Amino acid sequence: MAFDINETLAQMLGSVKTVAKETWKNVKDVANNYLQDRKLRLELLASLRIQKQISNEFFLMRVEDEKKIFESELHSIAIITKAIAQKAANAAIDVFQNAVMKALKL
Amino acid sequence: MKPPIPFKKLSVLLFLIILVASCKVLLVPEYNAQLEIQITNTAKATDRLYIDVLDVQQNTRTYDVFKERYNEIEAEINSIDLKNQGRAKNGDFLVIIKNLKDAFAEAKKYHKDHTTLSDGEAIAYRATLAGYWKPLYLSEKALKSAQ
Repeated sequence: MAFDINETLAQMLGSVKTVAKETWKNVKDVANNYLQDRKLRLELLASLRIQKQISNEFFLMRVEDEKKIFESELHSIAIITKAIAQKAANAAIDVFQNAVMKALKL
Repeated sequence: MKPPIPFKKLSVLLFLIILVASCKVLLVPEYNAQLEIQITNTAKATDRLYIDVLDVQQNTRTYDVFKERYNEIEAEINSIDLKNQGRAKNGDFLVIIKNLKDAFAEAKKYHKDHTTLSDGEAIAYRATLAGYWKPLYLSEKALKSAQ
């Protein structure tokens, strides 16, 4: 069987698109999830402070925590995005490898 | 009939195939099911600690009553940190774990220094520490889909 590089590249691109499409929704869901959590935490902290259940110093410490949590969330989104990229790249390599094997009838 | 592929060309081709076959893109650490379970269990233990703190009268919520629980959780976080230090492509994970480690150490110290916690403080710590755990848990879970 002949090895068609154009056909193989089209298939590789197709596999990348399929993987990216399937998993991109996950990134959006996670980002929305983090935003919703932040909203609830800030509401809770504000209400605890307004009701004087926590001191101003303690409140400010928790607000500082929010910056660190945001940093962790950004690193988490980076991991999720890289995981998608890794899966897509490996799927494309598999397509190429299979096309060569098929051409060689291995 | 097609002429046979010369041995030299075939060797080069096979070498290239082996090279491509062994070439896998690696951008994130490999998924570790045991680590996911450890993260879930330690996050649960952290949540349970503050649920139990809130379940007793403020004057009996002394640090001494809960210090074993704090130390157990701290040791588990250190173990998660150590396991991650041995993984490839671990940069993002190490930042997430460092933030969690620092936050838990601060919460422990606050309880120790103030002997007890008010309801408001315990509620706030419970919510904040859950916020630190979630990115770690979701990141480890994401690695499963990358395999």
